[in-house]
Amino acid sequence: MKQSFYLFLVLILLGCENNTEDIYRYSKNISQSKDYPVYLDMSEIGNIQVKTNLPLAAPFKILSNDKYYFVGEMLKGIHVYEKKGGSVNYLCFIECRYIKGFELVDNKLFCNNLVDLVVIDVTNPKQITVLYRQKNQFNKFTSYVNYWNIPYVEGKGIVAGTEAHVLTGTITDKQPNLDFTEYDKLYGNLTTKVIPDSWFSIHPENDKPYIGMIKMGTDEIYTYGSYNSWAISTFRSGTFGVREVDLWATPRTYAPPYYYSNGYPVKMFYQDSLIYILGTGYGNTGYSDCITYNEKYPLTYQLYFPDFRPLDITYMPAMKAFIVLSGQSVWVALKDSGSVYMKKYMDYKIPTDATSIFRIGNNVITLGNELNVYAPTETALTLVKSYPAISGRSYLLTGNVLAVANVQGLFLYDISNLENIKLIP
Amino acid sequence: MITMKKICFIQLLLILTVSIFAQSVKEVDLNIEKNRIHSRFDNRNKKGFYSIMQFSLMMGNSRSTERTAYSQEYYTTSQIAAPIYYYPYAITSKAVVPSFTITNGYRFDKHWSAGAGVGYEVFDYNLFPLFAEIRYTVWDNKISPFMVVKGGYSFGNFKSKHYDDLYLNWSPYYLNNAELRHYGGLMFQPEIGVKVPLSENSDLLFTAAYRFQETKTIARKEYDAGQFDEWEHNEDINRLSFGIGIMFR
Repeated sequence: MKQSFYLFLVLILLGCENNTEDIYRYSKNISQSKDYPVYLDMSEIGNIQVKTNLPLAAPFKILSNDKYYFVGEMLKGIHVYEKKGGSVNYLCFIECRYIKGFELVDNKLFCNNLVDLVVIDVTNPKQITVLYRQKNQFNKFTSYVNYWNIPYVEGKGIVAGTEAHVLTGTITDKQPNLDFTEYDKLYGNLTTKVIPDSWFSIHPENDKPYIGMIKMGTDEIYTYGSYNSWAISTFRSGTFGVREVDLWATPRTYAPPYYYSNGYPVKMFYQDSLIYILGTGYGNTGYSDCITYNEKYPLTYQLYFPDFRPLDITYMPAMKAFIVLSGQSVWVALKDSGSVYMKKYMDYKIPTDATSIFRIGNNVITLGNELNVYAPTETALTLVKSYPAISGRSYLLTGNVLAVANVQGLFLYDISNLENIKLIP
Repeated sequence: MITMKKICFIQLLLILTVSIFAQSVKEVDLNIEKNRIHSRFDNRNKKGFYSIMQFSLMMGNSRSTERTAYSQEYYTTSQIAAPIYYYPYAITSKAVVPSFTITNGYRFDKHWSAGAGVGYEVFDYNLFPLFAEIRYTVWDNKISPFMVVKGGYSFGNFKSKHYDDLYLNWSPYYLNNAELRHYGGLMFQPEIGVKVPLSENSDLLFTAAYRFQETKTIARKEYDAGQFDEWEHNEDINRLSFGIGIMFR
């Protein structure tokens, strides 16, 4: 009994503990800074207008219809040349700022205007009409490639930068932050008409927004979708439409592009029934996805280049090989018959600064500061003929006519005989 | 310092308590004719004022936070002293708190009485309880159990004290050039005990009680333009109390 009593006493004693609570209070005069987004005012950038002339500086793409040649000028707009007989005359310049890609469907131009997709009626290029503007079309990447987007706030637009504003006042433990309500009203809708210089480098094709645009079929424009998908735009009977097509869509035609989380696409074009997507990875790595038409299952030939970023690519069906421009040399990638990967990569060790490569028959043509005609085999690339007088940064091959654009203008060449390419006067 | 104060206080009260017994003289009236011995305790007043002096020791576990200081093992330069890092941790230690109270009240009958009292208690700092009590005694004129419930407020310091260097066993542990004030708080003490009549007018009380005591301490550092930092440390103290007292009636 006694023992139980003592035990009870000890237990009570042990249970007699202190409970504590600490509270911190303060009142301090501080200065707090808040960054307010500065939204891009698109009123000037979005103003697409016709100008009489603008020098060709950085032509990146040539398209044509039955009346005109359209030469894309990187970040500036589109030069229009009128076809007259066999030659061309400069007609006008359609200013469309921050253009990086465009396509032509009959008399309608689809192009990017920074992150917007615009449809322009160019029946008469001197009197254009903007038929439709799809806002933020090229800035809607999701999932693992959110970072491909330029910061954008729905209803307010692109965030071009931030402006810090400092507020001084008293904070307490009950109100630990300064009241920025007045500042929010004052600075909540800052705008600018100027895009930061840092957004575009000397290689704007590598900069955001990542634009890729190809015409498929008669009137469908394929661009990058939100994630591993195509965004297919049309403008039919005065109505713009856009739909997303992903890997699981049926009926299947071309596989959707694959978005590498450690890379981004730089260039997309359609040639020889293949969709080519050239991209850049970390460091000096690059890739080229060559998507082929296949109704049964998605089929993409994947080329990976650990030491360079591919500038251009073409396919040689006779060799079952891709010929690639590295910027310094010409490479060949031989297809493995059993898989989508290449069985062999080889450097032809042909020094070149060409920026474009394409196939005519069984010959490979490179275009840069000169035009060269090569005869390729699996082991060697033999120079057939060189044309130092022909230079250009972009080209368009239509039948036997090669249109080449350089800083002097647009030139047409007769390529019916590759050993005797002639300028069409 | 506080420990020394407690020891002195306990010794003083023990001496005083013992000396109370020296005043106790038991008077016995012998009535030989009726062959009976009458204790004077039989004729005690059932109503009237009373006064109690009581000394108690309150025991329990005191929990506080301490921190360890140690030097960094390497020096970045030969001139700059290495920083000292502190890692606070909680410790529990046995605590004995002496308490001295004086209660004055009124006995309504041989069972019920009520009163009010003041006291002096040495926790980590001094507290001065002001309380009311209700008391129930089973038998008035012989050894008897009793029950008491006390409730009131214990006062701490009436103004802040300035410290050039203020060390605390709770966050922020150290302050320089700061003010400190102990506020005390509500108290509640249910108590049971045994009353031993010593004389017609006095009883010896042995008590055991549970004591609940709230305390609040505020350390404050003030700056220019009304700016301040203030740390409030609230503590709910639970103690088991054993006491001895004398009741005059």
